[in-house]
Amino acid sequence: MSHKPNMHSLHSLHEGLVERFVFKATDEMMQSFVKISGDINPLHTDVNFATSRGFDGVVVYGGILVAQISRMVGMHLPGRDALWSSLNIYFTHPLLVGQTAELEARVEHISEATSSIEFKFKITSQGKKLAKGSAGVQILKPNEQ
Amino acid sequence: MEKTDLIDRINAIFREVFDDDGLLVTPEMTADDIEEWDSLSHIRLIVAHEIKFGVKFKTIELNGLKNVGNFIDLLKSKLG
Repeated sequence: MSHKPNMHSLHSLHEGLVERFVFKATDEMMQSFVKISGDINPLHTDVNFATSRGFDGVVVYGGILVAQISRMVGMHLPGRDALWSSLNIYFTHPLLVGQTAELEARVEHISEATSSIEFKFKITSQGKKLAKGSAGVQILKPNEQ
Repeated sequence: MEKTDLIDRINAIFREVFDDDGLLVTPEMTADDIEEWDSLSHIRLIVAHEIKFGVKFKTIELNGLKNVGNFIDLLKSKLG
């Protein structure tokens, strides 16, 4: 994982630009998300319950997928100067703990007048689309002296 | 595009951005007339118009606007 955010400005981006990265859903992430959210729904914490409801294992929290979109915004598109303003997301298939997935984002619109971008994204794993949607991000500028 | 069609489309965008199904856009309307109209909703409003009408605005164009009527005139000029 990169430890330094990109420093894109409106002018270093272009419509059609694609950024992507792979992530793995781990037990540690799940335990951390329980602490953050207070959500201990058994679909996300109890393998026996999850399998009794037709899944092959514990289902990763949707919020963890959203956290990866946060990483896309804050580290990649645009990175350092991001101010996340909107998110639309559809979950289409579950990600299971231990599986890896890829998040791909494509810049769809650049607005010079508002110093903001819109990107579409999809999260895939093992050939299946797990989630898709779009996000809006303002690109902050330093205060003028 | 007929003027009424344009106003209807603009009104639909305003209603979506400000989450107000009863909102009716008028030429005299300004940001002071809509409580939810802050800097972030302003960005959503402008970007939504850019995407839905396939146009792009410049900062200098928006800075000169005094009300929604001015904005509609600007949008019409870009749509030809």
